[in-house]
Amino acid sequence: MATDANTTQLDGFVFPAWVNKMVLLGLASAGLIGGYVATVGFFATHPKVINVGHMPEQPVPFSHALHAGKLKLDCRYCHNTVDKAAHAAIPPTATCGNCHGGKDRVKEGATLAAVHLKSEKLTKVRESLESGEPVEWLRVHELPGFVYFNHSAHVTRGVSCVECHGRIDKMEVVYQAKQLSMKWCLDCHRNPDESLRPVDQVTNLGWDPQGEELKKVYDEELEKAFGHLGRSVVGDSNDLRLFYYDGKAGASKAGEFAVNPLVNKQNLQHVFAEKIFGEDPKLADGDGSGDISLAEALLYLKDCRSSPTRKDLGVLLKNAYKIKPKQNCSTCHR
Amino acid sequence: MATLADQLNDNTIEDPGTRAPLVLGGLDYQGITDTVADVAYGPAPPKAWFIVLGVSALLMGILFGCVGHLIMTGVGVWGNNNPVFWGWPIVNFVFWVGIGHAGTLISAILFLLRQNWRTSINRAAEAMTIFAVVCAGLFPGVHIGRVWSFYWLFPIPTEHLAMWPNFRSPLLWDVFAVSTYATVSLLFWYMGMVPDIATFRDRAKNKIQRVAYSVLALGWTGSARHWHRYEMAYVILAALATPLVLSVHTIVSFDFAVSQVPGWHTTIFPPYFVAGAIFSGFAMVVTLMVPARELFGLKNLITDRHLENMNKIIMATGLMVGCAYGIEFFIAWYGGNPYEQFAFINRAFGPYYWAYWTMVSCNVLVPQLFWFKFFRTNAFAMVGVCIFVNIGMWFERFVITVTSLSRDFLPSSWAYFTPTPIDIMMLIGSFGLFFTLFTLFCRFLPMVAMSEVKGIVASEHHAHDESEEAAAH
Amino acid sequence: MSTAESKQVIFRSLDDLEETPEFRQFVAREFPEGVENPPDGVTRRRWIQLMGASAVLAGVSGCRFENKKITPYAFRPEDRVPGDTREFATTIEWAGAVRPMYVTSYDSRPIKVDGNPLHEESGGSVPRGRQAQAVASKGTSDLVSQASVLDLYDPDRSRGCLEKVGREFESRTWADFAAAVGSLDLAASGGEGFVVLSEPTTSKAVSALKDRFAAKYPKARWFDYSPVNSDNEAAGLKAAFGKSVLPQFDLSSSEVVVCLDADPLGFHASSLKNSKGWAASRVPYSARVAHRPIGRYYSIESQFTITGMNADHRWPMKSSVIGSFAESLRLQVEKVREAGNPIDPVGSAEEQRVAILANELVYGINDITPSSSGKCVVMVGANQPAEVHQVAAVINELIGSKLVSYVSVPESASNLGSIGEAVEVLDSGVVENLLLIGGNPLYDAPAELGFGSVLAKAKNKIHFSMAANETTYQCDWHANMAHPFEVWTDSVAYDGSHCVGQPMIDPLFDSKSTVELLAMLVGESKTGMELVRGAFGDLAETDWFEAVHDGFVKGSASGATAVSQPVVPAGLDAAAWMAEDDSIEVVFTPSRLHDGRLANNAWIQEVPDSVTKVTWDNPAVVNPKTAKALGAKQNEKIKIEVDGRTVEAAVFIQPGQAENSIGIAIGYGRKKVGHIGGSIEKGIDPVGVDVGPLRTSEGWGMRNGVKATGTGSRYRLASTQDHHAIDPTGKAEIGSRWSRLIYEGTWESYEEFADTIIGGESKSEGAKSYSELKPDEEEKREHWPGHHHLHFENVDPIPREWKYSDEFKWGMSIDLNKCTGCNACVVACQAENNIGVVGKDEVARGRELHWIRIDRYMAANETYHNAGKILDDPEPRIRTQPVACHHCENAPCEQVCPVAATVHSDEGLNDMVYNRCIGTRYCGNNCPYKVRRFNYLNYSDAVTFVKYPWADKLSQDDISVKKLVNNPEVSIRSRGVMEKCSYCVQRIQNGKIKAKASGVPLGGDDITTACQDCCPTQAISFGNLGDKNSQVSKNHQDVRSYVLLEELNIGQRTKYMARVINPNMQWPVYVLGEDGEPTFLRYDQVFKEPSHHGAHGSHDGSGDHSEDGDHSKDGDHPKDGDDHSGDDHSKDGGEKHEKEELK
Repeated sequence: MATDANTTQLDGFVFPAWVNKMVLLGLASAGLIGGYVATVGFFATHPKVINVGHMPEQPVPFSHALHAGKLKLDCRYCHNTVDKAAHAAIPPTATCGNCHGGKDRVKEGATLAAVHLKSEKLTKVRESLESGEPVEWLRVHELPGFVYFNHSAHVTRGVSCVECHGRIDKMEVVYQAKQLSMKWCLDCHRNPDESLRPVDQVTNLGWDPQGEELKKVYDEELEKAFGHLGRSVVGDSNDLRLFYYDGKAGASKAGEFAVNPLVNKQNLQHVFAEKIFGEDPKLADGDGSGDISLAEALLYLKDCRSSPTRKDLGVLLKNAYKIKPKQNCSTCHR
Repeated sequence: MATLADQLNDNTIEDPGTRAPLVLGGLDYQGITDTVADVAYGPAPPKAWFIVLGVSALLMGILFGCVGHLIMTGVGVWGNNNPVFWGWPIVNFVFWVGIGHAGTLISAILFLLRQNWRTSINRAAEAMTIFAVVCAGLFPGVHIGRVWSFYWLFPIPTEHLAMWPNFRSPLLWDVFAVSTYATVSLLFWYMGMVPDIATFRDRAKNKIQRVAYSVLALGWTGSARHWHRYEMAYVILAALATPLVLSVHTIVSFDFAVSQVPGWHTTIFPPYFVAGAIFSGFAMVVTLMVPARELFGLKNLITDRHLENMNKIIMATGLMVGCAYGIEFFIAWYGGNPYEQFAFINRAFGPYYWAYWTMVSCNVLVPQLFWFKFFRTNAFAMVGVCIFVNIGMWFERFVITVTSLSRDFLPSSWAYFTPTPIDIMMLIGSFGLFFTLFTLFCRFLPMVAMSEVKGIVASEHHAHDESEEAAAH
Repeated sequence: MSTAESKQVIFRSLDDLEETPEFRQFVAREFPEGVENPPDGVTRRRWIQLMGASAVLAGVSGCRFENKKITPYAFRPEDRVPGDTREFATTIEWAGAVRPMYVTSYDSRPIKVDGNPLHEESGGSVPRGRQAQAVASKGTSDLVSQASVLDLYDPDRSRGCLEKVGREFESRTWADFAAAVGSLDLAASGGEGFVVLSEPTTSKAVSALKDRFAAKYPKARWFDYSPVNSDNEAAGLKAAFGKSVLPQFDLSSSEVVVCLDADPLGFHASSLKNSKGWAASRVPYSARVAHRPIGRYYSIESQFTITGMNADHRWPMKSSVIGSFAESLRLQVEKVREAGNPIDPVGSAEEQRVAILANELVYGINDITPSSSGKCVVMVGANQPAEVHQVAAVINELIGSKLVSYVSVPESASNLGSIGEAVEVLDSGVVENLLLIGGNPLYDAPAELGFGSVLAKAKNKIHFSMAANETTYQCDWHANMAHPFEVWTDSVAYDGSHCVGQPMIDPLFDSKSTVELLAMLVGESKTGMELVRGAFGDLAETDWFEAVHDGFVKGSASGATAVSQPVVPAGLDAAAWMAEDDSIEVVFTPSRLHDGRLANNAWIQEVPDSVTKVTWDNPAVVNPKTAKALGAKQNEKIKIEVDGRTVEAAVFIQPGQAENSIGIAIGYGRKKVGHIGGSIEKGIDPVGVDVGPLRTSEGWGMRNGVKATGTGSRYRLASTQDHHAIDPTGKAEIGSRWSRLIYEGTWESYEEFADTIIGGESKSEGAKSYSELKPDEEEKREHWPGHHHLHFENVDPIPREWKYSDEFKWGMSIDLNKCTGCNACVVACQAENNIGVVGKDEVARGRELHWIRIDRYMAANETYHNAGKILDDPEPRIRTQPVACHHCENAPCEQVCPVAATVHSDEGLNDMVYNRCIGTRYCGNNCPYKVRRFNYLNYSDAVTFVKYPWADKLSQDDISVKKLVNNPEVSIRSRGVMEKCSYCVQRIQNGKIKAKASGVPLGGDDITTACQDCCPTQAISFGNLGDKNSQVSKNHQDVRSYVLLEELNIGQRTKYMARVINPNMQWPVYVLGEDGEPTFLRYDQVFKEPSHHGAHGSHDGSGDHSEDGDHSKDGDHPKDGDDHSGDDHSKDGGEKHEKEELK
């Protein structure tokens, strides 16, 4: 229907008026729906949502709350290879048999009473002890096949079970408490200070000293790491008579410390900074001058020791035992 | 001194005094709109259109069949091996991205340079760019070993991994460059087409055409405000698209230049690749325009002068590419690096000598024919040369990629690459995809930018000239 | 989700619904089946409610967990730590070839084999940093031992006993078998008609059982037969000394070793000890300290063997005339001894060479402290007839060789003799019951005996073997033999020590050991352990446990016996080898498949041959000239005919192969093996060609005068190097480039260099050793051979903002002077790192996955090279170089990976993260060494996002058996992922963690890589470069140390050490004269040696000054445009050094 040459009137198709409102409405709803899908998608695929909360029903209803919580059994009684190998091995049925052996066990004259002989919850344990076939537990914490996590590397350096497994001593049925995603692990590898604790407290899941108690722990660790340095800090910054003494050279008088031959005044500050503050000496750089004067070091040490935080304890442990969590890919992937 | 009349029937006559008319056949505004609209609304398209569409759709089917088989089986279906880790798919990718650049050059750079002859071919050229980038984008997408993890290439902050892509890698620059190129040229092409689509909308015959074109025309009324905004937007986009012509193929050349494979590791690559891109792009434009203007009767709009200008550009860029070949050999000899020296001797006399000499003959010798006006204006001659040029440019990418990889530092790792049927089918299939899209474009979208051509049509000036002539007597 | 009996529940609220069991189960299941159609028993309305409610939650928690089981022990053994590896000693014996081993088990599943570090053969005094530790961790091993663990998990092993019913085999248990054997009533009439054809074994338990067997079945006949045997050597030495003895060689202080068709470093019963000795004799530094030259090795052979590749002089000669050559050598040695002083070589090239050999054998080559050293020896290959072994024994005695001693061994009938006898007995039709123990006589018996037809004559035939092979299919019963890792065995090693083979794991399938079978036949009910322990005499409990722990009884190696004057063999014509003779011989070369039993071992089939680099095939190796004469071309078939029987094999043109001599490996072409080795029923074509038809009793090792013609029919060989015929341009470039990749120099130039640099005392008083340079003489640490060294210092292009750990700096050093190219490291790496096998077609396409590629370069001498006739050089030299990832500090691959799948660790490792890789393969392109490997297809049958259901090559349960060999410490790579050498990063990480946990700081050498452990010559050393006294740091400081492609400035962490060869400068070398006619010149006229002070050639022009002179001095090579040769540098450079010395 070619229109004739000269009259070019606009009789072509023109959208009805309501189309304008419709387009605005459409854009707005598209935005909303899009936003909704994005947020649900983000949270739905968030590792915390996907990983946390896996609680399979085990063949034997073993309660950590009872054994580790109430009875205060140490984790390493059952998971005895946690500080020796990559896997914190699930105990053999024989370990359960020590108490639930089902037979009165005579050991060095002490009759070991068989606990819950008849409980039908333990039928599988007894069957396993008879038949030698293992109890088929269900895996709770599952890392992908290409990730090589090593328990002993963490447990022997002061990372407690609670950091990754949560308060498992309060769980009736074990569930995965933390997301254990790569970002989650890297966050801790990048600043491990809050997660470090003295090695002997690793299986004490409830260990969370505050205030005075934390101060006592801090001093103990300071002493263990750097000898008597911490006990008596005297003098002010210029005629300082505090010297670094690592316990070998004999102390001349009580309260007086002999100079450690290796350390002269100039690099005492360096030794101090390097020993205590590790990579980020800026913690003690009060006046922002960039370098830490001895006074600032002492000042920092004082308030550290006066009201230490878990982070300070972490920095101290990191330096005392040369804990340098690696961030190379081959640490976990190979 | 050719008069205007002579130029009206053959506008390739060079007469510095007058500006050769770019629209022949005395078409006025109405005539221009009718010739272009008839392509879409005219009687059924010519039988050839159906044949081309049918064949290319079949080839496209083969392509996607091969892609499916590739994703299910693995990259091993191609001929790639160790050390030739990149084979035909990367050659095809560089080939198609290269072809795209001429379209943007014509529509953006020539627009800024006020080369009026570009108006009647810029729409089709820009369309060719989009379709070439579609073909190009497909190859690196399916080329990677684990296709289902391609999204790791994009910097998405995830809660899982806390991992960023490696921003030092030219492949990542490729991802950004090619996707930017696709979006900008798509936007530039579509925005430029809005007035013409509005014309199509007003001529719509049935419901579907009316609704479709109306939606696409974004409510264009041709009011002064619309034109004002359109002109401003067009100039801005042309300005934005201009650097793309040079940057995208520079980054594609970085895929090779950044590495240290002898034969790749030369700084001549960026200009050499850009010249090659424009060279093969124009060749493809000419290859498309000559049959298209015959089939769809656009000879008055896409005149011989347009084709001649393009042929001149082809010859110029052909010489640049030839010069780049020479420079590569000189630098290899002058640099004194034994591995580079052998890389180029091996190209010319090694097992791939046939590919090298095909490349040189197609890219350097054949375009010399364009010194003669006959070849520049005769339809068959010009298409023949352009097809050779594109063959030569495909071989150039093949020679660069495969020959250098097959023999580099340690002779014990030398190997020979042979393509597999899947390689061959995917190459032909990619042409199928390209021509399918182009044939659909010709039928359903305005092939020539009517609004712009009207801006430069001679007859309106003609009326103006007559008065001058009258005044002169 | 059956909820048939669920009550009608009114759904009130989402929570109420959520508590219902089927809802929790519905949500908990990861992929709810049958989502489209409503599960049965649930009403449509209820199903919609469920779907509605669960759509959101299921969507959210849709990917819940697939429940995986953890099954700990019921009773865990005392010291077992789950997830940790432990090593046990054991032994493997293949028909007399014994290998003491150290097997690593993961949770009692053997996954890796290494040599026994305590045994003399595979451990002992190899100069290696780690040796000083109390417990040497791993001993050396060869490629066949490394691959032996794969046979344990071979899915084609039979699952139990089989009985043939009609034409099909049906599975039976051992009880059925015992009953069937009982019903045969074998003991009737004293075992009349009862014949046992067993493979020979050195096991004392079996020989004890054999005696009890003979007592029970007096009339039964027992024959031992193995195709791979050393009958000729035994016969030869028996003829020489009158008693059966076995030679023991100690090459560690050898001066001259002449190998007549012998391959001590390759296929030899004690190849590990020989390799160790060979390496020890050629360490230049310790030779200087001991004031002796490094050993000089001559190899006169027809095939190109591993020893031939590494010999200083290799003289190709037809195997059939080597006997007469040995005789002429003996005569010359006698002449030289009578003359009292070396006779200077005159006459034709051949005569001069014999004269030189004789002089050096008698007087040695130690002109520093000359003495009739007796440190020379002649060795003869097993294929050679008995007289040649006898002549060699005579020569060794004449030259008073101290390198060979003889050990008395029990008398044993010859293998070929006993199979002949067995066939006669079978043919006489008197045999009722035939028991075949191991072996595969149908496949490998001598051709003329026609074992197949004769076998049918026995009525009840039982074959006791690990898998059903060609012979089993002709038998009535198949009893399932256990793999040596599953049962108790014992054997006597080459040096006579009595070895224990303790089981690593309970038998995977219903199988028994040979001793258990024989005990059953003899009617005893003792267990395998009791039978084996019985063979160890009255060892006390503790001694027995110590023997089991060590793998052998300490001190049980038999001492040398005095031997009488060897008798000279008659009938050897000393002149025959010089005569013109164009008869064609075919030599049946020893093969990695032993006698064919390892045909189903994919690792052995796929590792490239040391010389030809061919995989999955046994080509007919032919000299180029002979090939032209026979009309045979590369990748085409050749027809060989012996006594009317023909065999068609693919041709491989090998320059350096003796003329008119065709070499084909035995053990290939078997028809009934399995999914790897080929099996007619499963439609998998056999690998290689069966040479059985050509092998007759008298022509067992070789056969002269055969008819051979090229057939012209194409046959594609899959080789990992030179996939295609190299064109002239390529060959010329290889010829000029290889000397820039493998640095090499002569012993003279090393001595001269060491004297001038270390300086001071003249040679005679024993110059100071290089490492005695005091630290302040650091700047004197020059490089040798000097003319390759870059004369500019590499600068670090990218200032590093992150710093390397100061604690660990991993690096590797590969000593090319020790590497023999034996491929043991390639298979060890494959076993340790779960490297896949790709198959013949993919290797042909260049997609093999080995992480170490042993590069092999063939170089003709200068005259042939310049004339462009590289293939015509009769004696080309072959150099090998293992290349793996160099973990570059400024790695080209790390810059270009778009997803950061390969990144650098702060300890200097280039980490390849398989799970992050998406497979763009740019890293592979940008690696100058091309050592990255890509999983093009589904080689490892791993789970991928999408794949065809038929993509896996094996059935699921076969895959589960095959997967048991994988090392759980290394992730499996699916298709589309790049992989490469990781410096055994799993060993590094575990080593560091164990050291940290135990508090003992990690020593520089404590962590070893798999290739380092197994290398027979300990050429590879890996360790912490940060620790100055680790072995690798010392090697990196060594004067011979250099970096491959150093000019690329990418900070490689692997360094090579230059090779020192000790050629005889007067040795005549065949060259192409000016007139194009072959003639000969003295060695030093052909290979001009630039003195180490020579041109510090600029790195580009170095080609023309390289030691092997592949360009003549004046550098007329067209490419060598720049005339600026390095000479001008050297002059001042030279004086500079002298001046310093004189101060």
